[in-house]
Amino acid sequence: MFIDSGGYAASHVRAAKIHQPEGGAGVRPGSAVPVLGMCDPRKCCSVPILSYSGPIYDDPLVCQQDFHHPGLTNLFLVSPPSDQQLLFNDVRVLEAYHCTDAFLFLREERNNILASLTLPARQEVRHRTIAFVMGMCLAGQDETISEFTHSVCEDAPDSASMASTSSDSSNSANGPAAEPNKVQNRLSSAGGNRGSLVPATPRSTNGAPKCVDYTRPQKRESLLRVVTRAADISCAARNWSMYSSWMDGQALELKRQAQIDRISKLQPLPLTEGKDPLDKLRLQQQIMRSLVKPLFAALAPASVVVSTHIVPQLENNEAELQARLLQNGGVLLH
Amino acid sequence: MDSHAQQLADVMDRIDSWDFNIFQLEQLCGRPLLYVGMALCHRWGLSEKFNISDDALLNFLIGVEFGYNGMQRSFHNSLHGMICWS
Repeated sequence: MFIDSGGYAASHVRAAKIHQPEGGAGVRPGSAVPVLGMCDPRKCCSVPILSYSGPIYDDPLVCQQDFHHPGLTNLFLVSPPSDQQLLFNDVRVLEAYHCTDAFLFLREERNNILASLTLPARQEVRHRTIAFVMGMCLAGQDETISEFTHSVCEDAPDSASMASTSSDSSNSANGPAAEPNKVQNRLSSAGGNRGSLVPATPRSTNGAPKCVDYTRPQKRESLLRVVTRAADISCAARNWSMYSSWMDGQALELKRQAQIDRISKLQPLPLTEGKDPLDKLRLQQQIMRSLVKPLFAALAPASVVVSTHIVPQLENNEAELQARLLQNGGVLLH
Repeated sequence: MDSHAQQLADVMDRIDSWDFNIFQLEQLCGRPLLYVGMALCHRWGLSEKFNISDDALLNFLIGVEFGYNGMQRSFHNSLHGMICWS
C-alpha cells in the first residue's frame, strides 16, 4: 500500500474533501515534506478524519519490511541459543533482524538508493523505516492500534467513547516479542467477542467526525505504523483470487513454522492453535477476526481518504469495501 | 505486441487499482518486485526525489527480490514484500 503523493492526491482526492487548514498546510504537489492537512468538519462529508494531502510514506524501503525472512517465529528466535536473541536483546527480534539486514544491504554502494541524500535526509528515512518495520510485530498489533486510536482521540473532546479501545494499550512498547500479549490471548480464546477492539469514530460535540492534525511527526508515525501493518495483510480485503493465493502461502508457512516450534518444544503459535494438521478454515477465521478486522476497523474512518490511490473506484463506496471483506471471511467493518 | 507482453501490460495497467493482481504478475514475469518497484518509482517520481541512478535502483530491486526469494519461503517472499508497497 503506497500512499503518495501531492500530485496524485490533488488529482484523485475529491476537492471537497481537502481543505486548507489555517497556516497553509494543505495539498503541496510535488512536496518532499509529508503533509496531512486538517479538515474542517463543517465542510467534510461522511468519512473525513484524515484529509490526505501529501505523502505519508513514499519510501522504497517499505519493500524490505520482511527482508531475508528466516521463516521462523519470534518465539523461536528468542529461545536460546539463538544468535539473534543475543544480538537484539530479545526485543522484537525478527523485526530488528529485518531492519538490520535491510540497512546492511543498503550499505553496499551499488545497492544504496539513499546515497545521494543528505545525512539528515538519510537519517529521516532510516528513522521512519525502523519505526514501521518494528511496528510490524504481530505481538505489538494491539499497541499499534491503540496508539493510533489514541492519537485520533487525543484531540477529541469527547474521547470517553474510545475508552474501551484505549484500555488495550497497557503493553510495554519494547516488551519482549515472545511475551504473550492481548492479541495472542484473544487468538487463544476461540471465537471470543472482539468488539472492544473496534474503535468508535471520534466525534466532536456537534456530532461531526473529528479531524486530526497529522502534520505532527508523532501522529504521522502512528498513522504510518497502522497503515503499513494494514497493508501487510491487505490481500485479505482484495478479490477472492488474491485472497486465496495469499492464504495458501500463509497456511503453508505457518504449518512449517508450527512443525519447527513443535520439534523445539515451544508453545504452539496461537494462530495455529497447536493443531496438526492445520485447520485451514479455522486459521482463516482467526486471521480475519483477530488481525484483519481490528486493523481495518481502526482505519475505517480514515480509509476512504488515506487509501485513495489504491481504491479510487471505492472512494465514495464504503459499502463495496465492506462487501469485499464479507466475501473474504465474514468480516464487517464498523 | 505478443500475447504474453500484452497480458503483462494489462496487469501492470491496474497497478493503481485495488484489484491489481500481483500473484498474476508473478506468474507472468517471475520478478514482481522488480517490475512493480520500477513502475512505482517512476510513477511517483521517487528516482528524482531520492536522486537514485537507474543502476542503483535496478541493483536495489534485484537484490531485494533475491534477498526474499533466496530464502525459499511460501509466504514471506518477494510477493509479500511487494504487497506492502503496491
